[in-house]
Amino acid sequence: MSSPRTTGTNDRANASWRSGAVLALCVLAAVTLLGAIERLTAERIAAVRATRLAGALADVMPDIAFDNDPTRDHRPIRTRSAGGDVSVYPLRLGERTVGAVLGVVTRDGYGGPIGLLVGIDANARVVGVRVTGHRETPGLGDRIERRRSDWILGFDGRTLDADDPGAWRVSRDAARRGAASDRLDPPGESGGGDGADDGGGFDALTGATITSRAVVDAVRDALIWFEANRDTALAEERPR
Amino acid sequence: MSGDLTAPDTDTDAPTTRSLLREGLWSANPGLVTLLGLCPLLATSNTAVNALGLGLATLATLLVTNVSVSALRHALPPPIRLPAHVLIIASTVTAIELSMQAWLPGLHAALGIFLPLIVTNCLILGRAQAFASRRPVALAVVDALATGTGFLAVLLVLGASRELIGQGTLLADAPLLFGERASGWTWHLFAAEHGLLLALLPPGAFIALGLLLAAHRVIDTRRSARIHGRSHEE
Repeated sequence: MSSPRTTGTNDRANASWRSGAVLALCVLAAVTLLGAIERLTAERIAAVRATRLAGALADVMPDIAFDNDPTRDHRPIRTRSAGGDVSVYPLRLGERTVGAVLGVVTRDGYGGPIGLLVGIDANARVVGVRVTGHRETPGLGDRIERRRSDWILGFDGRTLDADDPGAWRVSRDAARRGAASDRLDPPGESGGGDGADDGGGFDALTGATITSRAVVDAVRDALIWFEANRDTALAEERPR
Repeated sequence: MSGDLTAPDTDTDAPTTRSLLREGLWSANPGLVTLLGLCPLLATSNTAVNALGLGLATLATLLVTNVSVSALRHALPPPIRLPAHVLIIASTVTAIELSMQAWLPGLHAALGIFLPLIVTNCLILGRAQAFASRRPVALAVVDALATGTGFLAVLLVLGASRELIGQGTLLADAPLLFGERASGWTWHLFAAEHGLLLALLPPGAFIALGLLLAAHRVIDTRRSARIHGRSHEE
C-alpha cells in the first residue's frame, strides 16, 4: 500500500530534479552565449561611444587647436551653481588651458532633462553648443537640435556681458514675430552686440519658449560656472 | 483565390504555410486583429525609419525565439516551459540590442528604451507558447516570418503616415538605419512647421491605429459580403 505512493513521490521528485537540471542547463547556455556576444561587441561599442563623444566635442570646439585627449582628461565635477553635475573636458595646448567643453544637464526642459555640450574658449567666449539628449516636443522643442534648425548656432561667439544682464534672456517679442524667428539673432560680435533692437536677447523658438529658456539659462549658467572656476578647476597640471 | 477563400479558414490542427501567411499578415495580424504589442507599436511609430527599425528588430527576435522554442520543444518538460521561454526571449533581445549598439548606434539611440522592451512584447511570448512550442521548426519559421512581417507592415504604415502628416517628410533620418548612402532618401512634401503636430504625439498614434483598424474591418466585411453574395447566386 505504501510502495506505490513512494514510487509516485519518487517519480515526481525525479521529474522535478530533471526539470531543474534542464532549466539550469538552459541558463548556462544562455549565459555562455550572451557572454560571447558581449565580448564580441564590447570593443566596437566602446569605439562607437568614443567616436560619438569625440565628434560631439569637435562640433562644439571648431577651430581651436589642442593637443590633449579631452575624453581622457575628462572629469565629472559635482556642483550646485550650474544646476547639477558638470562634466569638464579640458582642452590643453602644451601646458596651457585653451578652453573647455562643459557637459551640463538642465532640468527646466518642457519634456524632461536636456543635456548640452558647451564649448568655451580661454576668453570665456562660447564657441559652440550642441544638444546631446532631450525629450522635447517633436516639431517644436526639438528644433534645439542642430539637424533640425540653426537655432543652436546663435550661441556661437557669445560672452557673459556683465553690463547687460538682460542679454541672456529669451526675447518673447521675437517669438511673437512668427516662424521666421527660427534662428537666433546673429551673434553680436560684428557690431558691439547690443546696438540693435534685440540688444543681444535670444529669440525663443516659436511654440517652445520654455525649451528655449531652459537652454539659454543652462548655457549662461555654464558660462558663469566656467568664469568662476576657470583657475581652480581647469588650470591643473595634466594627470600624471 | 476565390476557391481558397471558400475553403475552411481555420484548420488549426494542421496549419499550412499558406494559412500561416494569411493569418500572420491579415486575418490574425498582431497589429490589427489580435492587438498584441501595442505599446511599442504606438510609441515608436512616429517616423518610418523608427518603425522600420523596431519592426525589423521584432521580426528578428521572433524568428530566433520561435526557432529555439520549437527546437527545444521535446527537451523542455511542461513545468519549466514558461521560464525557459522567457529566458530564451530575454537572451535573444539582449543579443540583438548589443549587436545594434555596436553596428547601428544611431538607430539604437533613436529606439531607446523600446528596444530592450521587446522582451515584454506579448506577441513574442504568445507565438512561443501558442505556436512554436508545439510545432516543428519549419512551421515555426513560417509563423515567425508571417507574424513578424504582419507586425512590421502595420508599424511601417503607421510610421510613414504619421511622419508624412506630422512633419511632411518620408524616410527622414534614413542614415540611422541604412548608413550614409541613404542621406538623400528623404522625401520632403512640405515644411515641418505646416505639419499636424498631433500626428507625431501619442494621441495621433491612437487615432491613426483606430483608422487602420476601421479600414481592416471595412475590407474584411466587404470581402465576406462579396463571397456571400456569390455563393447565393450559385
